[in-house]
Amino acid sequence: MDSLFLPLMHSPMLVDLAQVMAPPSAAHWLGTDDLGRDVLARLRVGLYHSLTVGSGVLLLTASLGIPLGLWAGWFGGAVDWVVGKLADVVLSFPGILLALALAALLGARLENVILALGLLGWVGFFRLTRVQVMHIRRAPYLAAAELAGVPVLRLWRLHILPNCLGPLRVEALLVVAGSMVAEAGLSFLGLGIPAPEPSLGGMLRDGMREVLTAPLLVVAPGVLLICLSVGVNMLAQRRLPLSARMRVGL
Amino acid sequence: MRIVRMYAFIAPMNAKMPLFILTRLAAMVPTAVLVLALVGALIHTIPGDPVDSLLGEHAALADRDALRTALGLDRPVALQIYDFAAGALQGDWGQSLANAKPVLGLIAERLPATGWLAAAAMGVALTLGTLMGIAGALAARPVRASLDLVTLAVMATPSFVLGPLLIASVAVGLNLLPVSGMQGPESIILPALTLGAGLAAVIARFLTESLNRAMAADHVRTAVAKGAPMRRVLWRHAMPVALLPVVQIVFLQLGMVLTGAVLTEAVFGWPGLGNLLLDALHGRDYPLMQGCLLLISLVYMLCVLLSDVVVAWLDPRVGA
Repeated sequence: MDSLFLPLMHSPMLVDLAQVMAPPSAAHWLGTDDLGRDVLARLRVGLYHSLTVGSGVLLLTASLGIPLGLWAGWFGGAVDWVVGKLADVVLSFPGILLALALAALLGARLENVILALGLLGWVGFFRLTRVQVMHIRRAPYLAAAELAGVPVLRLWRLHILPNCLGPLRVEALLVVAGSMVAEAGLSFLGLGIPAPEPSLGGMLRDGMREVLTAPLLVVAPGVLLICLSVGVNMLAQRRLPLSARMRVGL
Repeated sequence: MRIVRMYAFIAPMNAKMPLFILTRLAAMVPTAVLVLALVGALIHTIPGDPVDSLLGEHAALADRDALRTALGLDRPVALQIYDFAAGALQGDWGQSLANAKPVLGLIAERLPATGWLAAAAMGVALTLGTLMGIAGALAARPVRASLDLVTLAVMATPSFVLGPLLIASVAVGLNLLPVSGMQGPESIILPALTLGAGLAAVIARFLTESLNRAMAADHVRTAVAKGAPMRRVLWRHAMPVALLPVVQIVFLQLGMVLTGAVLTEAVFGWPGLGNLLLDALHGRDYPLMQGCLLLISLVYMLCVLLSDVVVAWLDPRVGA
């Protein structure tokens, strides 16, 4: 029973020069790369890094964008104006380029990828929350609750946030899909997750060198990345109009 | 241009148009200034000293100071940002640290390659996108269903995945086209396809959706009832309405094509602006980096402006 799952347990970093560019076999289900490392194991860890970036960016953008959007939508005023202008600037800048520059200047590390993508991605959450708050606020039951003296934070928690959840959930899926693809792009360019550590983008770049002899090294991470992106997009697609779907991808 | 002819009867350039363009341009100024400041501030807001990365951490103090003075890094940050912005406005974009050539000249050298790539990609996107979009609305059900799946998959496939896959299948597998570089006109085919595919899918999906809506509209039903031939109903009655949102998307995506070009150029070793920027990023060539970022973001903003103007021109309901 143990030997059945042994091929899943390879180390992603173990260099085995006797096994360089081995084709798929019982021991290495997807073969090995140009340093004899097990491709399946590297895919597994690369996928883990992708999901880490996706959830990290989601956490960062949501915790920046939603509170700011709540504040701006509810109180308006200077905060609304300043943050709104900031959001306009971020949006009028081609996002992936700024992420490229930030990641390059901060240095290629997983944390910096999350930081760079997070600093750009909060705009979606901010604008969405702000519009929702301004819309929901007009409902009579909110006026009633306000007049009854319900504290603001309680109002937000009980009445505003639950009603914003639908669109925010879709935005969350789009952020996760977009940031996983963006991370792969950065890593492909050598500006994301640094080299010996496996990442889908890095594997694609390394595979490009061997595309003549071992196309699987390109196909395997490529297909996995497409599946990830299509899967999350399809989840999101069920819930929103086409125009809002545009910001996914590179 | 077919579109222009189709709209000629509803959208003569009206008298308010120049004013509209001017106000939009004026509205762009504060954003442009902020972008300028942001790009200028990039170096200074990031922890770590550019001199460290240029000379290494063990360089002699005198060398470090010399370089610091040469780069103007010993002056107040606000002044440096101001100098950068003022210089940029006067056409002095600084010199590359790598080879001391003017940044603007280096950019001008690479611009045509990127321009050709973007134009070819737009051609691919418009042709494939329109065909698939019409088929998606009017073809038989199985065709529509499979197109839906194909366009979704293509939209979700980033260029750095599609590019290598195309290289593996077409250039290597079928031995048809060059793998990379820019030799001969046929070498643009794969990069253009890679860059244009995503936009083609977007255009197709938008066109399908808006064509479906247009075909259900009253004026189209009237045209059908009057016995107009299908070809005429489609091109004369449904298409002009259906294309409006698509036109806007195309112009909005123009900027995305430009950014996407960075990755596509990296995949195919295309000697354009994208590879110049990547060289600058990897070599920590700050002036060159700033110049590339500034140019790309300005063009991007102009594309967004262009999309507003074109839509206002084509659609009398927007009210320019």
